[in-house]
This record gives sequence, structure tokens and C-alpha cells, in this order.
Amino acid sequence: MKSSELYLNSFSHIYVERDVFEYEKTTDILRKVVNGQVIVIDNYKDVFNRPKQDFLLQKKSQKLILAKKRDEFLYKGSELCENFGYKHFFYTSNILNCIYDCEYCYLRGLYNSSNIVIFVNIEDFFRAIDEETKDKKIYVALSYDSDILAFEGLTGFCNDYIDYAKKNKNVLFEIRTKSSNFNFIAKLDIPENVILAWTLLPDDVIKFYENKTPSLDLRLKDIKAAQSKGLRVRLSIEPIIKVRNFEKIYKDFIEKVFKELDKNLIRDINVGAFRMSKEHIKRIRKLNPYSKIFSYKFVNKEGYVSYDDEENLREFIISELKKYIEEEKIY
Amino acid sequence: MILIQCALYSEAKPLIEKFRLSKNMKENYFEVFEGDNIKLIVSGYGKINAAASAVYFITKNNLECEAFVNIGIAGSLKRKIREAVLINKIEDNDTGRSFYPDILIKHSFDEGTLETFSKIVIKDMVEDLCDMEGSAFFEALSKFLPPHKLQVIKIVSDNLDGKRLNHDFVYDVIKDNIEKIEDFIVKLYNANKREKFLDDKDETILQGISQNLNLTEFQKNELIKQYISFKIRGEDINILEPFLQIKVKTKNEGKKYYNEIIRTLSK
Ligand code: SF4
Repeated sequence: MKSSELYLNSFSHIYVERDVFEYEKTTDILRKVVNGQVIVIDNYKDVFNRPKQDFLLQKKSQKLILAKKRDEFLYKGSELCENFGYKHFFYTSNILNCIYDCEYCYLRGLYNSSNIVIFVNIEDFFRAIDEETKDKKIYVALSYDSDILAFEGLTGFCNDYIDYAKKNKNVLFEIRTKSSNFNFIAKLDIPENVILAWTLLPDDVIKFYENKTPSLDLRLKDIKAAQSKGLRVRLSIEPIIKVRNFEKIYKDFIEKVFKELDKNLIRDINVGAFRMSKEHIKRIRKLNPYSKIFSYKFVNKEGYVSYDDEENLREFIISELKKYIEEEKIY
Repeated sequence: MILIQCALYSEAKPLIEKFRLSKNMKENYFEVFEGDNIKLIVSGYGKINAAASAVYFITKNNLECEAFVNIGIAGSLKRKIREAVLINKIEDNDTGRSFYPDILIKHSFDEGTLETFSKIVIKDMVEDLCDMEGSAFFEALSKFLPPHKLQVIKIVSDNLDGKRLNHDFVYDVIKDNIEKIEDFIVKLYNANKREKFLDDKDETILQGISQNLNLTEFQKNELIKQYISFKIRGEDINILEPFLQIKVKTKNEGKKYYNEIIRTLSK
């Protein structure tokens, strides 16, 4: 029996905290998810934190949980190495979990559940940012634990944040995505203090290691649309994932990226190795010892696990990038 | 294996007939019926019986099953008699706690909320459905099984008017829904059963090499890990065939071939 015949569609069930029915976002989302079975709950943790949930099986029919975030609207990140004049780094979690399903995703093993929690009270996030930016400039990665633009059709969060950024110049937002949802924000006037970043990997990697994400072509099409509006975008080649014929595949990929995009409208490119803590990779292995992420051997390094040749892989990519773009833009 | 719990024999009877289950005469504590990949336990009334029999049954089955389903009658003020409902939320009236089965599989039931009471309820403030076992079944088994394996199907038998139900009627209302129940159980089984990643051929290769080369525990584990990576990448495992013919006499010889195999697998 095919998976599609067996499993209910995603969002077949929407668990809604009793307290959030009054929010406009809740009404909006419920209007969009037609045919979803609404189940009233007291607190999202009653569903999200249940013991023994099967993260990977739940991915086959992800449910939606609408909740209110009650504290910790901004998480403090480590101090920034790049200097954008914004020394203080924070991230928000408006959404927990993702509709995409990348084999290398660190969300696997992070939460008990792969169901999606959406915190509808975005006003409270703004209030926390207001407070934090009273006397300083801060840099905020938006919904670090998800792909916030992938949910734009449902939540409209990026629209809200972009609107907010226009009014608060002490904040610099980064929206990082693998989606091809730029059309949802294309009509907006996107101010300088919102950075759009796309995570790109070669199509062979996307096909083998990512599930449900848009192809490289679709992402490039979106970036081109953003550039055509004059936006300077960030690219992220991360995490570097091994495939057969690594060098050829990554070389061709980089060539393609620069053939399609306007390099003058690339703000910078970050290149990140695949690294995970030993404990986390253990949890991922427990979820599925046969995950494609275990296609190549990992070794224990100081405090983390990675490919034995991770440095070489990264250097190779950087040397390829340097053929097309100034070194200062690569980090 | 699918495990089923019913409170009463009359609830169980249509299932026993449908799935051709026969009584296990060796069971002393509860009535148990068994068939092909399905076992059923009759718990008796109420929460304590539901919890005790559920834990007994899952323990007897080494904590393993594709799903454990509670099937039985329930009262409802608003629903029609004989309607079958798949429960997506269970409330325990005594403790106020709520439980949520994961509903991942397509099904043809209506869905609803079940409230479990310790005493018989007549025209109480029941929102949807009520019974006397559901929450205990779920809470007790939550210690052992994930929420997608715990399912509750309730068939409406009365509108909480206090009338006594006779056994034939209970049998009837369950039997009326037997096709839907069967369809759901088959899907549950298919969705939850796990295919083995390493098949018999893989096991033969791994065991053969380990024995022939006299590998240490460490080497064996490393070999398995590398072999799995190799297979995940979709490489041709037949490349290892020649190594199956080799038998070593000394440790050093074994090590030499072991290193060669690891090199081949990690190329
Ligand atoms: S897009 Fe990012 S957050 Fe979503 S599954 Fe992939 S790696 Fe995880």
C-alpha cells in the first residue's frame, strides 16, 4: 500500500490551545486549513511533549498545534563573529519544527514530536524586541528552529516582521529559507534591515538528503526574483553534505549559482560544515539507524561529530567560490 | 501483532468471529483469544480492570505490537446509536487529565472526544462520548507504547438514559461496524510494521565474514556500521562475495582482510 493511501494529509488535525481562539492569527490559520479536525487543548505541551512519540512516523502526517508563547520570546545566541554593527545576536522561535524533512536536520532528535507548533501571539515577540532594542542594536535570526518563509501562506509572519522592521531600525532580521515562497513577500517594500538568506546545496544532495524541499532551480528562481527587486541576498551553503563525486557536483553547483545570480547583489555567503554534538547524533541514530545521513562515516572530534575530511570539503568549496566572488564575502 | 481490548465478552464476540480467534485455555487471569497476528483480551468493567488487563497483555507480548486498540460501547447524548467513533481526545473525569492518541492513518470513522468515568453516568454533562475504561487503558499503556499505537474506537450504544443493555444488542452494534474496524486495523498494522533494513542476505554476509575472519566484537560492530553506510548509499553489496570464501588461520591474517573490507566499503 502506498504511503499516500495509508496516511492522513498533513494538518488533518489542529490542536488549539483554549486561550488562543481569540487571536486573529488563529482565526486566519483555521480559515486556511479547511477540513482539519480541531481539538481543543489546555497547553501545547500536553500534546507536543507526550512521551514516546515517533518523530519520523509523525512526519508522514504532521499535525498543527496553535499555541501561545508565554515566555522567552528572544533567545540569546553566541556573540557574532561577523560585524554588521549589530553585536548582540538573538533568535526567535515562532514556529517549532518544519514542513520539510531533511535527513541531516538537527530538529530530528531535538523535540519529542515532529508536529508543528505555531505561536500565534506575534505581538508579544514584538514587545520583547521593543524592550531589547531600547538601548542597543540587535540582530535576530527569525524562527531559527524552522523555515519561517515556508509557512508564510499559513502564518504571514514574515509580512509581520518586515512591517515591524520598517519601524525599528535598531533591529536587523535574518529570514533564512529553503522555500520558494518569495512571492508571498515580493510585493512588500523590504527594508535594508531585513536580510533574506537562502540555503543552497547541489541538486544531487537535495534529491538524496532532503524531502519535500524545493529544487535548486526553484530556489534560484526565487533569489533572482528578489535580486530583481534590488535586494542584496545572503547565500548559505550549509551543512556541507557528502555525495559521490563530491568535487564535480559541488563545482558544477557553484558554477550554476553564479551563472544564474547577480553576484553584485550577493551580500555574502556562508559555508558551514556538518557538525553535531555526539549526544545529538546518537539521538538521530536512535530515531533511524539507517538514515541517509549515515551514508558516510562520521568521526568524533573535540566535542562534536563530523566527516573526517570536513575541513577539506569546506576548503574545496571556498576555493571554488573564490573564483566568482571576493574572499571577504565568504565566511 | 495487533492487540485488542474489550471490556465485555459481548463486545469481543463479533471481533472473535470476524478474525477467527480462538480461546487460549492456558490463560487464567483474563479471557484471551488469539488468531493470525491478532490477540484480544476481555478486561471486565471499569478503569482498574482496563489498566490491569492492558498492562498484563502488553507485558505478555514482550511490550511489542503494531497497535493496541480498545474497542467497546459508549454513551452519548448527541450521537446516533450504532455510530462508530475514533477517539482523538480522552479525558479522565476523576483526574481531569487529557490524553491524545496520534491519528496518522486514514479511516472512515467520525472522530470525537471520550470522557471516562468511574461510575455509570446518566444524563450528565457529557460533551461527546463517555465510557468507563478509555482513559485507564490509554494512561496505563502510555508507559509502554507510543501514542500512534494506542487507539480507541467507541460505538454508541445508548443516549445515557439508564436503560439496561442486553448482550445481544451490544453484540449487534459492534457487529454493525465490523467492516470499518477491520479496515482500520489492517491499515494500522501495515503502517506500523517495520521492514528490516538488513535482510537475510545481508545477515549471511555479515555473519559469514565475521566468523571466517574471526573478528573481534569491536571489528564486528565497525563492519556492520560500514556495511550499513554502504547499503544506504545504494552500492552493490555483491562486491563482498569474494571475502566470504576466505577463511583465516591467524589473527593477523584476519586483520589484513578486515582492513581490506573496510577500505572497500568506505571507498
Ligand atoms: S529546511 Fe531546515 S529546518 Fe526544515 S527540515 Fe530542512 S534542515 Fe530542518
